[in-house]
Amino acid sequence: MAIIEFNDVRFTYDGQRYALDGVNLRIERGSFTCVLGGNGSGKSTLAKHVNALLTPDEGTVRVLDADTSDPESLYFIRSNAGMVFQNPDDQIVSSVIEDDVAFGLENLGVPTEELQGRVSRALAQVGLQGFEKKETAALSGGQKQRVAIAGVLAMEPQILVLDEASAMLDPRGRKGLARVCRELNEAGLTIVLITHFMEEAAQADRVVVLEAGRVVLDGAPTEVLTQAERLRDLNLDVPFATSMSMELREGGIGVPVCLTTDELAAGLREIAPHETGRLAEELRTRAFKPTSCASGTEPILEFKDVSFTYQPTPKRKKRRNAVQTDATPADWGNDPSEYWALQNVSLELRRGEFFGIAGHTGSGKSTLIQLANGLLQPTAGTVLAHGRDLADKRAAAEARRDVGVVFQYPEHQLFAATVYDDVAFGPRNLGLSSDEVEERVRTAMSLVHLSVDELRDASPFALSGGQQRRVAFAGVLAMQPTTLILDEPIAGLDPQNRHAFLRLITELHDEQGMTIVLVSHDMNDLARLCDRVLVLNQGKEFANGAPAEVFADEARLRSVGLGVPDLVHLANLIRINFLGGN
Amino acid sequence: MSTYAQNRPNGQPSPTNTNRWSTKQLVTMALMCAIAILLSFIEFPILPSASFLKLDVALVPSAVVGFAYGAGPGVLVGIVSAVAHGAITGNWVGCLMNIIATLAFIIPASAIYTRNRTFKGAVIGLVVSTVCFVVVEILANLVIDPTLYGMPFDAVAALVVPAILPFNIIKGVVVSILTALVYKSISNLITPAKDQVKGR
Amino acid sequence: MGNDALFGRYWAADSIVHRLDPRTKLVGTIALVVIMFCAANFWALGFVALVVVALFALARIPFTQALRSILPLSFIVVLTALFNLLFVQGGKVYVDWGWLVISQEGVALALFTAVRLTLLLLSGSLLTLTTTTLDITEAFEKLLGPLRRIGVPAHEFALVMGIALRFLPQFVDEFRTIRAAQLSRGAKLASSPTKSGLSSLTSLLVPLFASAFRHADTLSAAMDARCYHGADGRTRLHPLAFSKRDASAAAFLVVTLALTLAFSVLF
Ligand SMILES: Nc1ncnc2c1ncn2[C@@H]1O[C@H](COP(=O)(O)OP(=O)(O)OP(=O)(O)O)[C@@H](O)[C@H]1O
Ligand SMILES: Nc1ncnc2c1ncn2[C@@H]1O[C@H](COP(=O)(O)OP(=O)(O)OP(=O)(O)O)[C@@H](O)[C@H]1O
Ligand SMILES: [Mg+2]
Ligand SMILES: [Mg+2]
Repeated sequence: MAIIEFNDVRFTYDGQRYALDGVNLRIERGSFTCVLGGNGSGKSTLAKHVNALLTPDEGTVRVLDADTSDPESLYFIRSNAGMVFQNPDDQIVSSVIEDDVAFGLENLGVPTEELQGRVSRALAQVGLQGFEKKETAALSGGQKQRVAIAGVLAMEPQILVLDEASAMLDPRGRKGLARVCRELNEAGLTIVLITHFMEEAAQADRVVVLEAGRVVLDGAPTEVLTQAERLRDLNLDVPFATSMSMELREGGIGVPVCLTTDELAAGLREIAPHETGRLAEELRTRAFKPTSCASGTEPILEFKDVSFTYQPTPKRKKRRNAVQTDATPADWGNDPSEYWALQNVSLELRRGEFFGIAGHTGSGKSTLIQLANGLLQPTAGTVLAHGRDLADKRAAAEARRDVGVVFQYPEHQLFAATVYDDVAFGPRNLGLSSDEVEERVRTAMSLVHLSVDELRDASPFALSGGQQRRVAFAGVLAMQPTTLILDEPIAGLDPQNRHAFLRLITELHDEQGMTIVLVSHDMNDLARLCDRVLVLNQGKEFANGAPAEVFADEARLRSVGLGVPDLVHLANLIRINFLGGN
Repeated sequence: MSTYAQNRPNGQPSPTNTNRWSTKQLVTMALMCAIAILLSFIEFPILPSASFLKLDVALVPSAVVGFAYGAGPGVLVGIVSAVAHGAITGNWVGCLMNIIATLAFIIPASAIYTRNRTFKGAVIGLVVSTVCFVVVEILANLVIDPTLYGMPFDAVAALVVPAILPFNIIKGVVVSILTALVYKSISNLITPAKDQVKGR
Repeated sequence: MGNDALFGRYWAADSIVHRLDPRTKLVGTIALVVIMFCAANFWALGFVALVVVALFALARIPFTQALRSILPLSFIVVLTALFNLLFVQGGKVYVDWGWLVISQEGVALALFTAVRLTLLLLSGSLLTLTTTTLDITEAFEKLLGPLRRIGVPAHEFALVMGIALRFLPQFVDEFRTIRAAQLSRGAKLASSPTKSGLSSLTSLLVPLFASAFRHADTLSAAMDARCYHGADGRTRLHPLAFSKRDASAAAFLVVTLALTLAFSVLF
């Protein structure tokens, strides 16, 4: 029996464009369905219909045999179809974990005696037992997302809808979440997972692809995720293992088309047992940027034994966090009561370099960036820009002009009434004449491939997410920095948008000769693009060097919640098999 | 599967939403409060002659809410943020002063603007509000400082012209301008095309 | 700030005062303030001071911590004392230098108001030191509850305050990021808003507001999705409950009031 039924559903927000345009969908009880689609294709709208947060303009949605537009069954549906959203911060209602998990139950009027037990059980289900009394603000993103899931599970729903629930998490958080979902599904929960990560889709029983509010592909992952060209047209991508296996087949190695790297490795071992050594080498070289050409030797930024703490006076913090849990630090991300946000970090950035930074949530990446352009002052050690100490105010001001920073979700810093004013904010602060400002705005906008004439007077808030990010990006480029620091610039974008942005950044590096520092959770990108990579772990330097060296030891990187590029992972897998021989 | 709502696909009626405002509006108000509390901790000294007088722009969020949703929600936001500030710092007298300031500033502006949603309406509302605010603040200082703090009335009265009056005029004007600027930039985020389904 | 703001100046300890129902503490604090204003002379005030000190001892809060908690507000005390010293005249004149005249009554009143104001601030602090802001919120909701019938939005008040406090640390972070971003675009956020112009200030405020609206979208969806429907029919994980302790606290306050009045009349 179908637990969720969409019959010819159409829905529009503004009366002009249909966000859902004739959706027919039946989702079976106990299944694990993944919904894919580019930005704006209607995934979130679909998800909100399952929960009766939205009701169709035409057609019907039936959940557990109840019509979502029937007000009598509103709370029945909502209590049975739980929903988890993208941003973990946006779902937590209360400051204390147990209060938050209890929120839904309190709304349902569950008697107080029953509450505590159900809260504890739900927390145990997501692996957070013992966290009842913790503050929600002190959790890492992955943990917050688990609290959000616990809040839903406490209501004992039969359906769980996750709307890009992993988008804002680091690799470890993402893996943890995927594991929780699988376990819940095995326990009988129907799961609808919306994601931009093709590897997650490969785990589902069924994949549904939306475009412009219509279901355009629907089937088992092996059917859907192997249609490389079709998916690219839909702003999506194929999983790494799939594209790799297809490429190998074209190259004459007859592996089956696979969805996971494990499968592919097994296939390779079977088909070409004697070639795995050579293949592994080849994969490994392909993972990294061809040996970097002339990146100069002149250091433009130097960190010398830099340590930084947000708590200059060690105060009552310790006592307050006295509520102990048995969680291991690895589960924690960074312990928020940890005194140092950054400890004894040394690095040297050379002109023209493409420098990568990786690290789990709370490892100190954003802190490092702010030290680099003088927004923060090191507690110990020195930061030199062009050989001048940034502790000097004038030097710091100049460094800020020279080092452009694109913060995480830069579109969240847009403020002006028009796009032009927003991009011009920086140049105007430099005291330039209006002609020069105009000139700079034009250059900056053309660098991010936006047309000044079209968008000049538009409100930045009226643009699409991708465009907003470009505008914010242009605002930084208008300062004409020689060094650009980007903090996770592609978070939350769909695969094709991600590629476009990375191309943009490489252009700036290759054609404009900018020095680039890229913070990313994606090891593939770091390996492919960077000359050197710094890995941070709990505020300390974990590895620093050429990508090939940094990503040499997979087990060691996994131990700090990171991984290696897919190609290297595959190489390691087949190599292990080759060496192990069994 | 034990809760009553879950067992109630048909049969007894579902609970009704008893809130005065939609969840979305409530949450927006709450987040505006968070901003107001944050701003109330970021203060700028403005008059060198009375450095203990700090300009905080914490009234802006409540004024924006007042413009968007009307006087009631605006006042609620102002009161909650004042109480929260009091609860955090322990300065309950300051809390009382802030509540009075909120009432004086928010009610006129939002009442006028919600009846006349034009630029002119906004300007008139803010001007009236500023005047009200200044007058009420002076009265409040004249009453509360002597009674609760125990300052001599004469001393407070002597401060009205050199300190309290100019300070509050500046504060009122700054808050008004900021409110107008902020509201203009974000007004298109406030009224969505279509709302979520609210409980009945 | 961050979490500090969330907890206010909460001083975690396990004491009788901490364990009182937050409603008792809230009403008790107001009662204490009333008692303070009933104290008409130094004897009565001294007695109230003793009571306050005793309460801090009962709450197991080191007195230095108590004083530190009112330090940011000490300028009010100093200012009030100064004004009284300078403006109130009468009795013996101690100093007479032209405009500067200090006399006996001025000194007495300065001392009296300074002590009373310190006590006032201390008792306000006692509430915040022994009660989390969340408990204070809940106390407000419960105390205002009966007024819901005449249209006071008590539940809404508490919900708004709870969510506001929950989001405060997050907005502090976001504010920092926005500030850092605008600073690195050369924003002049130097000292006073009058000097730097308001545009730099709006470059901080607008993103903060926009972010609030963005969060509100999902947060309200997440709450609706979890069957939120207002106060009616809601149960609580930790319902507030009065105990014998609260009755003793009330009795204690009544006795204090009586004694204060007695001191005021008798001396
Ligand atoms: N509250 C809203 N008001 C008006 N239009 C909206 C609203 N929410 C979404 N839309 C529009 O509806 C369409 C579908 O949006 P939806 O959020 O469902 O896409 P999505 O697939 O979830 O995208 P993303 O991958 O970016 O999350 C988009 O064109 C979007 O602009
Ligand atoms: N403003 C702040 N006040 C106090 N502590 C902070 C502040 N900002 C960050 N921290 C702490 O410093 C540490 C490093 O944080 P940082 O933001 O640099 O990490 P990150 O690597 O950028 O994480 P993410 O991947 O989540 O962005 C964390 O433990 C964090 O809790
Ligand atoms: Mg979406
Ligand atoms: Mg970061």
